[in-house]
Amino acid sequence: MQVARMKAETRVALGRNKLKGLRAQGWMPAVVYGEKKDTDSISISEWELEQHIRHHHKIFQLEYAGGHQHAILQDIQFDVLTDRPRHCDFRRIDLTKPIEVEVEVTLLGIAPGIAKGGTLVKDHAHVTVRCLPTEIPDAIEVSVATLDLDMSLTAADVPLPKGVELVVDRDTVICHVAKLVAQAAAAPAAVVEAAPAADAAPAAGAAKKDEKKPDDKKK
Amino acid sequence: MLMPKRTKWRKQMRGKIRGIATRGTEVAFGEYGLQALEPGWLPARVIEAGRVAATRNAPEGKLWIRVFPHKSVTKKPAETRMGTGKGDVDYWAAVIKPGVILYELDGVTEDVAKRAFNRVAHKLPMKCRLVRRRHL
Repeated sequence: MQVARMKAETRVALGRNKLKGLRAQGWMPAVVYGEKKDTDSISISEWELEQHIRHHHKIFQLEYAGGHQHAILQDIQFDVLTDRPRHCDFRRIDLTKPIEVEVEVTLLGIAPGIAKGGTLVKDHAHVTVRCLPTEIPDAIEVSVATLDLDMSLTAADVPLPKGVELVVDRDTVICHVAKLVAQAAAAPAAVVEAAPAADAAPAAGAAKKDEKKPDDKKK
Repeated sequence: MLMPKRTKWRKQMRGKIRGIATRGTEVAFGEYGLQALEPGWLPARVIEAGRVAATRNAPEGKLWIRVFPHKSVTKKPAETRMGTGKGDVDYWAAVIKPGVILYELDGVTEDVAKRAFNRVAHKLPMKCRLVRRRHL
């Protein structure tokens, strides 16, 4: 992976109101941290960052405060509704030391299980690997041509380029061929984020004891 | 239809939907998602209608429902005089803030996902859009 150069400016604007003005001018706030040094607040061009994101650049040479700093794009916050980047984190790195980074897994081919009424489900879109920053693969390609119904591919099956080693558990399931959604989803399965209180009283639908008579309401 | 197994309190105040969502805004399970762009309540029967529409239009895919109707909504019977307390629970609804991912789909092409979510979006009481999983 190539090291992309990006110009930045040391940022003195801190706080919500000042950052609003910064964003209005086409800049966006960012921070640089790591390597046991103080955190630097910087501002970068929003347009330039979007171009780098489009080209899947991850390793940067940030030029600010009269020097340069190698950093990896650790995280980006996007606006929920407009998809514009709002803030990003850079982590300082040494190009000669291996780092742990998440790499996207790309599935190739057509699984035979799909023809037998299954559907291919990606359990982990990314795997964590350890390698030199300059050797981070853009994506790891895995063939699913051997996947039959109810079969799965694990992290151990992922072919890794030279110099890249796996960090996650080798039994981690990358993808599997599940049964058809029309059959499996006969009963709706929901992802519930917040469960109701544990020590709760019976549900409203069940408790109809105190249901008033219609005569009471109609006068 | 989806509803809580049990709740601490049977009836709730109506509340107001302020601001935009800060949680459940990323496509986390599938490759495509349907994102709400407006606030509103999503009744359990609408969630179910959306599920049916999605599975009929993308039978080869896997669907995730990302919202759950936690809120009980009460209603007084028709032709009833006001007073005599709060009405009975009529239905359960999910409180939706703009930005929430409502459904996710995987194992289908973009065209299929677009068609399926278009059918779903027509059943929902708010504007929605198709979003893709973000790979950095």
